[in-house]
Amino acid sequence: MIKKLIKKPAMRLLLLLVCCFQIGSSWAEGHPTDLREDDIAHEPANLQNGIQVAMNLCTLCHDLKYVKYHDLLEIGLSAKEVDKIRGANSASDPILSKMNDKQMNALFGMTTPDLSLMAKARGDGAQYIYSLLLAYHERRDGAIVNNLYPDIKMPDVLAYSIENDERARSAIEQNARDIAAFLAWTADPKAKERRTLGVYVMLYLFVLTFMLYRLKQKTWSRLKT
Amino acid sequence: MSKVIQWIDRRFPLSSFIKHDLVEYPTPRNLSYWWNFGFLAGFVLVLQILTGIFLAMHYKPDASLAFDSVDHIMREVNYGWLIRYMHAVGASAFFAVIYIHMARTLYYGSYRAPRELMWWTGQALLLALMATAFMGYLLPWGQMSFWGAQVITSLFGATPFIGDEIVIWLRGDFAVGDATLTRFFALHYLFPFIIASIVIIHLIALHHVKSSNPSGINLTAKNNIPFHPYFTVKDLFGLGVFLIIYCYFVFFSPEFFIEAENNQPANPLQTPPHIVPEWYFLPFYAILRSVPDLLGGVIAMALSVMIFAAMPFLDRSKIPGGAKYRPIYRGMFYIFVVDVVVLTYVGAQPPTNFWTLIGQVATLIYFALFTLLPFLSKFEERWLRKQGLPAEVEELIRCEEQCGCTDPK
Repeated sequence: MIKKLIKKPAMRLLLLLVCCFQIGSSWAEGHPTDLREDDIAHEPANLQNGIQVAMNLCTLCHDLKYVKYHDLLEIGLSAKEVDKIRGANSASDPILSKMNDKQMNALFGMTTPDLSLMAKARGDGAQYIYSLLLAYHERRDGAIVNNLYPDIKMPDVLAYSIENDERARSAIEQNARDIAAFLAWTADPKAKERRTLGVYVMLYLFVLTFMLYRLKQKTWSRLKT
Repeated sequence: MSKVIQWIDRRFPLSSFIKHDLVEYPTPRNLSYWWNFGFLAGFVLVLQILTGIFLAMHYKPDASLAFDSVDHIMREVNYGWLIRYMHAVGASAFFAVIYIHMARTLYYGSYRAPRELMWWTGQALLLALMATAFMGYLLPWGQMSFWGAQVITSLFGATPFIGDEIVIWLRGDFAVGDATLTRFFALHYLFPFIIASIVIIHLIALHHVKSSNPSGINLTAKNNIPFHPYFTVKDLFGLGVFLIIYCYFVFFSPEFFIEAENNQPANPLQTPPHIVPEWYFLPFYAILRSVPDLLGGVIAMALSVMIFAAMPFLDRSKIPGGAKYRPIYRGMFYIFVVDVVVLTYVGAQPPTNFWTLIGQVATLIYFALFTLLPFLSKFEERWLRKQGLPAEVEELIRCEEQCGCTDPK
């Protein structure tokens, strides 16, 4: 059976293309990246810690304008917790930074980018955000620079570069992972619903296609005379 | 019910149409699964039109609102994320299906007489599809949307004498902006219906000349079987396999075909470090970049798409049966496919010296294959006939020379 398939020109072509793709992608992956490789957990507890840290640090300067306060109920925050986070804002208000464009321009010389979609706007998604937040280090002249994105205007908000205590450092790392997990959620809040629905759709399609295959076999067997 | 049908039949050939063109329509029994892709292309067209109409109900073609309205669809519209991802993945699926459909036609020589008009309406469909996809890509108003449109519209500036005027006329402004977005939206809504009309012409031609088949010769009546139920069930099974692959991307990897950069709103003041078109334009983009001169590059790119139309003239062999019975043509076909894959890869790379060189070699091979085809196909025919063809095949060729038909009767 397999031998017969391989003899078909189309199958040979397919094999050739797969090989090309393999060689091509292994070539592309060849260069080392500076990204951290630890796994980012996307559990509700992580998201909830992520939103707390993000609301205290990130939203000082950054908007999350596509996320509304009541959306936070979806990651398992209680109405009370959301009320505490939103303060005087309405539950249907978007999450905006506490500074306006003019203040940001005065501070950084630019308006800070919105973070709602950041995890999708960078090729490596949450892993990139996590790595970026921890890529700060102190140069010999005392200046603090970011390895991953040297031109960045954002200061080391998690104070990772000046922290020497191992335990505090690992707590910061956890916070960075949780921020990344939270931003992955803001970028793609329907991901869970999509995958759940996807499993059912795929199961349905497998059964349907198998039945159509049998029906095709049965219909065509009438021809063999 | 039968009375209603009788009433209609006296005024419109409904029953006879269903009978002749859907049920009894004679189809070669030896069609392989490579003949499924025309039906799949029709299915994807319907899918794109339906999802597109629902997207248009929520989308706002205004430079200040477009990006936000797409995000509104993704977050607030009921199942908006599903409709949008189906449409976005559908664009890639459309090209994948069409490219396979074209490759099948090339391999089996289905473009040859009497199917030239099918091939040329197909060529028109390809151009319309490319235009539609290009204009649709601007609508999310992301960074790649904006800069892609900026780069591609600027190519028209290579037109001698009136280049700048044409670019402004296309964009409706000095740069891609609100005017461009609105007109692209209007045309993106119009084009699918033009495509649908060309598809009807494509199908009328098909039902006149009938399907080609892997043997490459017109079969006698006894080798044809009715379309229903044999090919309806075969097409449906093919559709099932297609939907499994399609839905995998829609539900589990929907951003696979979307550039990360396009999740940032268009910013005319900030050029992305690396502007790349969608994967289905990459081979042609690589050809564009391979020519050092802009006008030359644009001509080469246009030619690389349009040259398919010349295939019925370039292929001068009378040997029936496509690449299967023609070793030289078969070799050229496989070189062509690999060459297109290489061009696709090169098109996605930054234009370094190394990749430019590879792209130039691949471009040369691309055009050399088409240029050499008239000579090689004639040479191949003489060589094969010298070696001695089966008597039936000789008979077929003689028959075709005399009466212009390959049916021995």
